[in-house]
Amino acid sequence: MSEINGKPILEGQGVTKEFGGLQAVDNVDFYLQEGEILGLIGPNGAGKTTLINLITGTIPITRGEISFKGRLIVGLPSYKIGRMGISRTFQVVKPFRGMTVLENAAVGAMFGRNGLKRSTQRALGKAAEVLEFVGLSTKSDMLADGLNVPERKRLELAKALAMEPEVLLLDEVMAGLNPSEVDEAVGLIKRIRDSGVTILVIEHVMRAITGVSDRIFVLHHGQKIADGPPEQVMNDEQVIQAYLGKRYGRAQREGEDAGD
Amino acid sequence: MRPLTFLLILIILVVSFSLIPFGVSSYWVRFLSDIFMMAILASSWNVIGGYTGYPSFGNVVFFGIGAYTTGVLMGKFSIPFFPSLLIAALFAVIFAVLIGLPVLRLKGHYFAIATLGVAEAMREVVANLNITEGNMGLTLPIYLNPNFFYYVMFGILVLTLLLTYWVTRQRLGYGMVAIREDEEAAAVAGVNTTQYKVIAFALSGIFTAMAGGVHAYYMTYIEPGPVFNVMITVEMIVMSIFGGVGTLLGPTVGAFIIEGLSELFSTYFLIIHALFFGAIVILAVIFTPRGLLDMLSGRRRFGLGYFLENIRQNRV
Repeated sequence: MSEINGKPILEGQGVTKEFGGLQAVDNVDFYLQEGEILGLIGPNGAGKTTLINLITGTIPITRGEISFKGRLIVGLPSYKIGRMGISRTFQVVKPFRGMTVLENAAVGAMFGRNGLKRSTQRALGKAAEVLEFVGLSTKSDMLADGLNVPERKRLELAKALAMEPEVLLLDEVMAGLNPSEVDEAVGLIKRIRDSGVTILVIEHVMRAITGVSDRIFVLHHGQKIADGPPEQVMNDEQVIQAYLGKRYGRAQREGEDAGD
Repeated sequence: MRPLTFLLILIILVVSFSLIPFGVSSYWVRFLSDIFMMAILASSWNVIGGYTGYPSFGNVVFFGIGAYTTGVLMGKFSIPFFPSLLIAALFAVIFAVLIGLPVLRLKGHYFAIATLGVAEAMREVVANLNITEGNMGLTLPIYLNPNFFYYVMFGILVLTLLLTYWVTRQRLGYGMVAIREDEEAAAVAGVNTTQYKVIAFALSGIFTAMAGGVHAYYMTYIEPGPVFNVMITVEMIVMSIFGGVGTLLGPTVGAFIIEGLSELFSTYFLIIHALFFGAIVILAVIFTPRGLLDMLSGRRRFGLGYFLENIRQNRV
């Protein structure tokens, strides 16, 4: 899955975001090949969510270029990017609380890719299909307010999927889930990829990210420090240092005698 | 609400309210006309404040624009009533777009204050224009026929409710509610938030302006102070909140109950009447923050149970 075939579906060059003097994302190049699952990891504050926010136009970019299927999308409003086929979930889930679960998904089906061609009736039908797919169909008529955490995560996914995305950006959809729920979520993400969607996953649950990703991309202090197959990235010295600290990295390098 | 239920309720209401003027005194016809007017205003406020979640504190501006457009067209240009009313609605739409584009970029309290400012400014503009005769007030052709105004107000109310019902079942309605619940998530989901907010604001303005126009013709004399009075906005909001924000019939129910009680109090307990609005707002917010209709729907807790739960959750 991870071998490079043709032009990437989503590509960023020199992507930079400054908040005041802080470089939240610092001159990052990235790409997503069609059909792959790319894992994006990094310690807290590495700039992962900021990168997603830049791709979807949720916050304005400082410098750099991002293109989707060869078309520059920097500066476009969020709703246009969403309609072109890039969907995302939010780390802190954002359900439309006063709506039912079905209506939540229907919003995605109504306004996402091909959404404007759909009548409200057909959008509700599409929403029902998506809820079936993520396993929420028994909760269709409940207010989104009444869902528990794992269900809310699924709803977040359903809203994004109902938009019929070509690229799906998942921001910590597995945080707060227990191990068996994580396994279910991993299965779900793979099934989404198999249906033809290219996926970027941000995750802190290591077991999940190594299990699901074809390739892993590591951000640290806003900069890219590694990019490659999971095994390689997980053994990368810089990555270990970023996660476990410099002293741990040095200790490992120098052997057990320096470990006090 | 299912289409059939809504249609049934509407038919029953239309038939019974159409017959009322034949059986009651003109006092009741006038009283009901006033209620209809407030129901139009509250239902219209509900489109922007309730469904879209932008609490406008200046919706009276549309009422004033409607009243003055109708007044000037009829009084100065001798244009008949109904064409004047349509032009008034058109003016409200244009105003909503021009003002909405900048003001709807603000959120929450900022939006509320800005709209309040717009209404106050508009009152001053009208008070200083020649064509509106400023603070002298404007006189319209006199037409004394309570039944006519009763039916016109009632007709506009029915139109308001029909349009609101239709909108909530369209893409537009879903987009509006999505904006209310989470504007950022709505934008990411593909909702053109700016466009939808402006449309909602304009929809809110159309029938408010028409009610203003009918009111002007009915009163035959209007002044800037009363028709741009901020208390009218407050009443719209109170009625919507009391009846149920973001529900189809809530604001109308609120208008009937509050106008009814208000009339009762002002007849029998004049002193309490002054406290009435304040008391209603406090009681409504404490015990039924989503309004009377929400209590009936049974989806959420209300009353003392709700109040105590709220205290517990917020550690007051």
